[in-house]
This record gives sequence, structure tokens and C-alpha cells, in this order.
Amino acid sequence: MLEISEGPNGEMVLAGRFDASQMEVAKGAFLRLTEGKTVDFAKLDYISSAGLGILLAAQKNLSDKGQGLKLIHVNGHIRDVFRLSGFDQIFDIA
Amino acid sequence: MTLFKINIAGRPPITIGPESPVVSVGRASTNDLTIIDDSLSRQHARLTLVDGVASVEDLGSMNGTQVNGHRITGRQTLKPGDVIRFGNVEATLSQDKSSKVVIEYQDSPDLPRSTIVMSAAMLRSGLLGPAAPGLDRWPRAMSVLQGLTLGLIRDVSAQQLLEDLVEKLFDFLEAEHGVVLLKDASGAVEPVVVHTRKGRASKEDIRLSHTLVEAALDRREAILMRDGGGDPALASRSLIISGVTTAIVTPLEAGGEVIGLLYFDAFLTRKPFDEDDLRLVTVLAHVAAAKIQNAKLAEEVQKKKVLEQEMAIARTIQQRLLPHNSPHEGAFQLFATLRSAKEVGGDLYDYFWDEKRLFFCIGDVSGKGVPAALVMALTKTLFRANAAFLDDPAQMMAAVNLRLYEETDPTMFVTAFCGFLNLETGRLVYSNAGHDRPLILRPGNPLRTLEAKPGLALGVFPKFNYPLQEELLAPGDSLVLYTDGVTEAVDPAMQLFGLARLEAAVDALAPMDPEGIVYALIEAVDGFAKDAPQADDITTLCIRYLGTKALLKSDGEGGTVSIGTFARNATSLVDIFGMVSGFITGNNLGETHRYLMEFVLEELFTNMVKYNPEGGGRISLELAIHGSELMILLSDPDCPSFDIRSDAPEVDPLQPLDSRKPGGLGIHLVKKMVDRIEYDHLDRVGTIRLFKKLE
Repeated sequence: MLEISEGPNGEMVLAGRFDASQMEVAKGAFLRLTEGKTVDFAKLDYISSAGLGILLAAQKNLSDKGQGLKLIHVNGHIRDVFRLSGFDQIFDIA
Repeated sequence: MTLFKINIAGRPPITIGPESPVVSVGRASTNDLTIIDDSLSRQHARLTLVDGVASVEDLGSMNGTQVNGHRITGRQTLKPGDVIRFGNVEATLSQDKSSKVVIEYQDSPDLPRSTIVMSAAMLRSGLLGPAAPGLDRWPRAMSVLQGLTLGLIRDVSAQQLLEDLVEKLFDFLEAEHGVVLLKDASGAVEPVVVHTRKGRASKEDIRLSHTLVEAALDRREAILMRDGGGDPALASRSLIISGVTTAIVTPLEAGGEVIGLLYFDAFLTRKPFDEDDLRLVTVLAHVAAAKIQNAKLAEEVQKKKVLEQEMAIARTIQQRLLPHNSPHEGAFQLFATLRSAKEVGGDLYDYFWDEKRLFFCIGDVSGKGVPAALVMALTKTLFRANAAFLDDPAQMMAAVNLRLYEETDPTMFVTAFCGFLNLETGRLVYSNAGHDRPLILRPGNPLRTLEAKPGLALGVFPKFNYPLQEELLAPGDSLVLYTDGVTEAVDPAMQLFGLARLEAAVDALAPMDPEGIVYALIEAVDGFAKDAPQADDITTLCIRYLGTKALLKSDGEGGTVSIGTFARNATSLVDIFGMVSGFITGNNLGETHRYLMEFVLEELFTNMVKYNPEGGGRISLELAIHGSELMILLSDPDCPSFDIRSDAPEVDPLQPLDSRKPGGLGIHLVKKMVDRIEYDHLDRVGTIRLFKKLE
């Protein structure tokens, strides 16, 4: 399950698993974004290429407006995936 | 016909004869002769009649059995007059002389001069003129007729009718002997009614002249012998011996066939029989013969009906011996049918399973019908009994073989195939006893025959080392077992269905479930046989191994293995992650490996579903630790070749955001995450193995 909620400072908080079975939930949240957003990965256990694809699409949308996603608290395994895919080059990872 | 009677004071005698050649004696009510006396055991003794010789044996009774004062051990031959003592109860054996008839062959072919020979047919038709009975006898003749009319109309047995007929005529004729001979199925004549004058039961056999018998049976002549004793040219010396001087013999004819004869005789002390007597006996014989024929037919119809009912019950019982639950959940699917050529048959199958293993067997008893059905029931029971404590199919064959050898007729044998399928690993261990080798269907692969050494049919030799073999079934594999009723089904031109047609019929069926495979096979056989009658029992049993969805551990040579098969859709991911969780827990692996396995499986499985949605069969996965390496295997049984090492597009991780596309990212990451990838594609089965060193 992927749970998406809003944090105390207006950031988007992800919890659980961001995999191919959670596409509908994730699309609803990410593709509606019209301005830059901070996304908290602290409680996210897992992301697959399906999740990466959603993040990529959102980032592309926002970059047209000169904005983007800021990813915070990205843990070990997910950080590895970002590095291996070169996503660490196109996202602002705190 | 030899009959003995056991006579016990105060009770009716019990007959030992061809109809009841074995008479059991004891206190239990199930005995033929129940004697309620404390000195008898429940099963005390047994009297038997073999080839006209009566004998008695003690069945291990407490107080024993004596013959003429001597306690017997083993079987003791008896003769008339012997005194038998069962415990304290005394019985005497007598021979029933009254029913013994000897047909004398030594008489000359000429009949006495005073003999009148007439055609029975003419007598009946009345062409020989009206009867001229004495006025005093005519009413009595009418009363005989009336007495018999009821019997002729009522539904009495043929035997009862003949007894009534002889008894009434016997009185009317004031005869000495009255006999009915009937031809049996083989054409030999057999006395069925023998009547003698009360109080004068001769100890001699009743002797019928062969000449008289032949005249009635072969020439259909009715014969009246007035005074055989007074004729110097007397044909039948045997008549002299028994003092008979006057006799009537007339054939029993029905449906144009002579079915027997009626015979009456008397001593000289009575006036000789006359033509009216002959006429009456002949006419009654004719009517009685028709009735006998009808009664016989009715009895046969009734017997056949009873037999049919019994066979129908037997068929139901036999069908109930077989399991019919067709499991299709969990790690395997199974479907079986058995169609007997007759009401009951000699084919068998059985199966049962628990969480870890499936036992199954199929067999074919030599011969058909009831004898084969009895051995079938025994064989099935033996397999079931032994499977409870044996898990080696070769040992099981040996055990069943020994019991069958000991307990069945030496000419009976059973071909059989049995096996245990490990539901966790797909490892099939099996043994063959002269049965047709099963076929293996693997999606995307050509049909093949399971390598099975022939073995020896069960029940032939007491000691035989049955082969033990094994095979690893992959998830999706189907095993098809059958009996030779399939391959030996014939079409109207007597051509055999044969193995080639069988293989052709099931070759394309790999993606079907067992029920579909079995029915398609039966349909192929029936389509081939057309109207030709089914000659042998047709049995088919099909098992499809699916593997298990949940974690299953086995400590095989390669280490810890977990295997599962999954439906070709995205919702299977939940089950796949469940399998990974179990593997992680069972092998004390950390989150790094969990992430790796989940990621690799999701990416590759999702791709298989996305790019090959129409492929047949389930996708199988295997997680294993081989030495210091973790192995992840995915196998699609029906797919085009796609080797991610060379066929997947490269993704440049350094390209700018604008030119990035989501496609190919997953495969790119999988390739980066693992140490080594192997791929093979053979007959549409694509298998990818990914290896990662364990730290």
C-alpha cells in the first residue's frame, strides 16, 4: 500500500510501497501538481520503476514552469536506485 | 444324481446334493444346519459332496466331530449309515436312493412283442380314433386333468408342476414308479422327478431301458408296454430285474424339441396299462412340456433380471471405490475417469494428498468382468493401505505385489504405475509394474514419454525389485496416465487407436487443465471408435503440477529453494511479494536482499505480463541460495525470446531530464543491481536467472 498525506509544513508525505500496483493512487497525487513540492520519503519502504516513472512525469511537468520536486529523507535502498538510474542528477535530493 | 441326507432326531433331514454340495454345521445361525446346543461350536463342521462322495471335516470345534465313534482329524469320507456326532449331537447319514435312476444300455434294441408304439404327435392329434375309456375311469381322468389345470395356469415353477403331474398320474395309473427325465443344457438326460410307491421304496436303482428312452427322445414315440415279463423275446432284461412288466413312456415336446420324457411302470400284480392310459399321459405330457418351457424361460428371465440388478449394484459399489473429488486447488490439479467395458471392470486408479505430497496410482487387472473387479478392489485397497506408511513407490509395488501373488489366482496379474509427487518441489518419484508409460505435457514443449523402466506386472512373481525412478516436474507440467483400453480401442474396421493417435490427441493440450485434457482424450477415442463396441475398460488420470504460491522450503542439494507459479496478471505481485517475504524470513536475509528480490521480480514479471499477455500457462518463479549466491529465476512457458542482456535498450543515467523516458528504466536498474544474468529460450520457454553475491 502507498499512503500519501500532507505533512506539517505542507510537504507531501509518502508511506509504504510505491510499486506498480499503486499507480492509480500515485498518479492522482503527482500529476495534479502545478507547483514545486517537497516530498518526504522517510516512511517509504520501496520504489520500483513504475514509481520512478510517475516521479519523472511529475518532474517534467513542473520543469516546464521552472519548478520541481524536492525529495527529503531518502533512505539507503531508494537512494541507491536513484543513483543507479541517474535520478539523483535530475531531482533535488536533500 | 447322488443325494445324501443328514438325519437328526426331531428335525427334518438336510440334503447334501448337487444343489447344495456344501453344508456347514454349527451353533451360529449363519450355518446351513444350525444346531442350538452348547456342545457345538459356532462354526463346527462342514459336509461336502464332491463327485458323488460325501465327506465331513471339523472346523476346529471345541468338542470335536466323531464318525462312528472316532474323533476325526482332517477330512473324513462318509458312507450311508455312518453315525456322525457334532459335539453331543448325533446325526446319521443316509443316501437318497429313491432318486437314483439308471438307464440300462445292455438291453437289446427290440421291444417286447406286446409293446405298442405310436407316434406321440398322432396320439395327441386324435387321429387314432376317439378314446374309449372305461366308464369308471373317465371321471377319474377328468379329475386328474382338473387338478393339473390350475398348476398349468398358475405361476408355479417347472419343478413343482412336474412333481404335481407325476403325483397325480401316479395315483391315477396305480403305478410303481413315475419318472421325469429332462435334457440339461448339454443334452444329457437327468432325472428331475422320481416317484415310488410309498412303503415299497426299492433299494434297487430304478432302471429305465435304454431302448425305451431312445424311442421317446430320439424318435418321439409314445410306448405302451403291456406285459414285458411274459414275453420270451423280452428286450429289457433290466425290467425283469426290477420285476416290472407294464410301462408307459412318452416324450415331452415343446417348441418342436424333445426336452425330456415321462415314464411310468407297474408290477404284474396290477393289470397292464392300456391305450387310454397312454393317450392321457401323452396329452398331459404335451401340455406340461409347453408349461415347462414357459416356466424355464420365465425363470431364466427372472434370473437374468436378478443378475442384472446385482451387477448394477456391483457397478455402483465399484465406482464408489474410486475417488471422485477432482482437486483443483493448491499446488496441483487432478482429474480422472474410468469407464468399464462391462458392468464392472478391472481398471483402477486412486489418489490422495496432504500438504506435502500427492500419491497416485493407476492399474489394469488382467481379464474383465467380475473376477477382474474383485482383484481390482483388492489391489486398490492394498495400495491405499501401504501408502499410509510407505513413501517409496518401489517398496509399495513390492508390498502390493507380494500380497497379490499370495491372495489371487496364479493366472491373474495387474499392471500398475504409482508415484509420489512432492508438492513443494515438483519432485516425482515413481515405480512402474508393466504399465504403459505416462506422457508429460509441458507448455511450449513437444510431448514426451516419462522415462519409466517396464518393471514386472504385479502378482506374477513373489519377489521382484521394482524400479524406483524420479523426475522433476516444472510448474505447469501435466502428467497423463492411461490404461491400454485407450490405446487398444478399435474402430469398426478393427484398427487400434494406438499410441501415435493418443500422442497426437494430447500433444496440443498442454495449456488445458486436467479435466480438459482427459475429456479431449476420451473424445478422441470415441470419435475414432465410432460405433465399435468398447472392448476394454478405459481409464485416464491427469495431474497438473502448479507449484506453490507460498514459501516452501526444502533442503535439496542446492540449498534453500522457494518455488511458485503465478497467474499472468499484475495482481499476482501481492503473492510474489508474499513469497519473497517468506524466503527472506526463512533464510535470515536482510532488507537489502528483500529490496533486490522485490525489485527484480516486479520489474521482470510486470514486463512479462505487459509484453506477453496472451502467453499460455502460469509464470514460474524460483528463489534459491546456491552456495554464496542468491538466485532469482523467472520462467515463462510460452513466450518469444527476449534476452535483457542484449535486447533491452540501453538507458543513459546521465541524460538530461528533457530527453528522459520512463521505458527501459526498470530493466536498466535490474541489470545494475545484480552481478550476473543468464538467459535461455527453448521451444517458447524463456528462462532468466539472476545472481547476486551474498555478503
